[in-house]
Amino acid sequence: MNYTKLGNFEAICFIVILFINHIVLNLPQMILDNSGTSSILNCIYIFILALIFTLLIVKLLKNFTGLDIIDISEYLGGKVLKILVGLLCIVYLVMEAAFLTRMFSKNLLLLYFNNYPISFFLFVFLFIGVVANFIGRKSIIKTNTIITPLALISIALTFIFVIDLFKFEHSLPLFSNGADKIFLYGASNVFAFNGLFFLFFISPLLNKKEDTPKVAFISVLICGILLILAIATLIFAFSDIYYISRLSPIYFIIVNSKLSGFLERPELIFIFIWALALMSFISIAIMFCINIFRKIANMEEKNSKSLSIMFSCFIFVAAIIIDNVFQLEKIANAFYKYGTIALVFVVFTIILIAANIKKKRLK
Amino acid sequence: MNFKVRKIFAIFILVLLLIISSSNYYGIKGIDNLAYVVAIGLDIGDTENLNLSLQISVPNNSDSSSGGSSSQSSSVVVNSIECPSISTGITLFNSYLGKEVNLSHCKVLVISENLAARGIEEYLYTLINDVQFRSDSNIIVSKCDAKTYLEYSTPVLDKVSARYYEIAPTSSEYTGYTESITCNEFLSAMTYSSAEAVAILGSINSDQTQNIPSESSNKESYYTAGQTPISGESGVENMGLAVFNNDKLVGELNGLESICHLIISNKLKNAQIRISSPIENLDYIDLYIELEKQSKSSVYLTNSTPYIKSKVTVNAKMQSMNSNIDLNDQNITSKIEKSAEAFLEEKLSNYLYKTSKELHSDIDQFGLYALKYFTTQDEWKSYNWLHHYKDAFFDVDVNLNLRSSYLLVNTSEEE
Repeated sequence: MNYTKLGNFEAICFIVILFINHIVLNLPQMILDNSGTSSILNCIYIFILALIFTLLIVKLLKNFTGLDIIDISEYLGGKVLKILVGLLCIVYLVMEAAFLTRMFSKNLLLLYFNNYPISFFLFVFLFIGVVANFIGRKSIIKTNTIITPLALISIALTFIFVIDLFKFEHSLPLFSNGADKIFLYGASNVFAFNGLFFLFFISPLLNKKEDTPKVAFISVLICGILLILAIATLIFAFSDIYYISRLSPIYFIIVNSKLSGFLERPELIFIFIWALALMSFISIAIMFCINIFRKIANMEEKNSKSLSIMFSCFIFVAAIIIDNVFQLEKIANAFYKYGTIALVFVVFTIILIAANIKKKRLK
Repeated sequence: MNFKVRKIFAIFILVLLLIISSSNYYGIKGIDNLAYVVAIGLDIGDTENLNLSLQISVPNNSDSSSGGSSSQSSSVVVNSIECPSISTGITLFNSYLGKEVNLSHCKVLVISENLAARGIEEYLYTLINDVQFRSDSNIIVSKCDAKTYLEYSTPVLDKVSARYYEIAPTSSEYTGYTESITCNEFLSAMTYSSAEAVAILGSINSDQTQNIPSESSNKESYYTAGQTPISGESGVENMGLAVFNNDKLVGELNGLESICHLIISNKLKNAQIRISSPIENLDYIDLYIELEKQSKSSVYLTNSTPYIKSKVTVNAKMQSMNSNIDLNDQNITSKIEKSAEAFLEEKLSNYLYKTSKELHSDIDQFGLYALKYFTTQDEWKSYNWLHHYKDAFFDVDVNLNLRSSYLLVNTSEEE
């Protein structure tokens, strides 16, 4: 298949962009609600878990260099498994894009555009995704390599602005709701590293296929550090962060930072960058959906561009189907958590292990 | 996509952007459609309802006096309404004013003492939940009713009310007589299990308060809001702090106690204290103080009773001067230092016991230092720090360094 090849940096940006979109929405709040004052401890724990998982995946992928999870599924279970896994991946990407777009649009409407219909924002974001896919993969990859570092810097900057509010005692009691909530139930927070989804697809896209482990570990490292930094900042700077759930904790940091002493609405700059990050992720999600669909349907590349309209329609419908915001948040949070764990950490891992066993037996 | 199609597409997007950016969307609301609120006042109404007062900015009105009292700034009007809730009140204002009330430029939330004593949780959460309301607005508890406070809040040295409200609370940086508290800080402290909240204390400085008895003439930092004997045009005065227990007002701190609060909570920038002079030629000495390093507090639990130790290190500059004073003399500076240390230790101790025994409110967040003795939230909650705080014992250690005077060092006359 004729893929546009990725450099290591571009591949890292692919993995990190999903994480960025989650962290600017409600990922920190989900972890804080779950682990309270022990959230930092929990983040370090899930970071270690993610590193161990990455190590395992990298080892398992070693025997399948240049193949993605769809190819490996075909190798393991033939066309049936390939189609099944492919459809699961498409559903996952469509739902991720739908929920992220809807949540971001909802926040934009609440904060700045009260009188606009939500469908307008969904349309704008998805239109950009369709156009990007029509223009070509190369433009999506290049745009993402510009936007991802920009978004990373914007998030890192938000932490610096509230350093003066830090009180380390806010992270006590250390074990908050008990050790079991950190190490047993808290292990499910590993879903925060959902960018690892792309790890199962980037191997055939890489220029140097042997660099897959390098790309994987650097991506996890970036996500882990950023997550710990985000949670630590929220805990150290704001004592009420456990008691009051807010729209977006990172947005809350900016609104309450010293930056608002210099600028009237500093959050607007950040929201603009995050909107770009969302557009970039939507383009990537549609691009991957097309690639997966082409693989499972054995489709020619020249006929596939118009598929972006179909996938954007799916995303649009999935995003708009739930009207009630409270319900939407519950379903979206459950999907982020259990959908990621089920697909990325369970299904993909089982497929890889089984494929490795099959390969050993055949040898 | 071939080059020609791309070119057409790029031109299409460009034209679309130009059309959108230069058009006037029918839904856009400008200054003509909105009434910008500068300050919100909350009070108990006559019928036990909420009395909502709004100080609204009047654009391009520089000469006419409009509404409120005679001392009201010409560029603002104050309107009030009795309503069951803030949202209902704002809707009624929208109807009355014929413009949509906008809270995005609101700088101050003024709550009357009576309402604050009854509890303000609901109102605060409602406002913080409002998208337009900025949580960095200052929160003031007024000793008079909120509407009167807004009517008298005249920016004497400023033309714009919003600017006045922005600048006025920063006076605490060089006086220490109050603290600039935002609604967000207030809410954080109120909801936190290891601390309680304070708000700025404000009142009107009227003719009655200006004729203060002479015995108080040496007690400038013992005043609270509305008591300062300043003669001039009646206006509002922010001095001292309003102390809360949960969401209810339980007491107030005067200027000196506010300085003590800032010292213990490491927020003091600069302040002036007046001590009895241990040297000849001066009855009192004015010292301009600042924290040399962060005040350190430690909490020990003895039989579940908190024992709190605070170590304070302060730098001081001598403001008072008279003839025959030689500040190069080690004995003199040492005497002044000792006297100032004793003064501060006594005042800090009195202040801390007041917050503990009288107000039952841990406004200095000592609870944070007790958290280390508990491993889980359940243990911490069952201990109930705020309940035990009223039994706390304090030990304050002050180290004051008289660094310098200002321009005069030695005024010894020749013998």
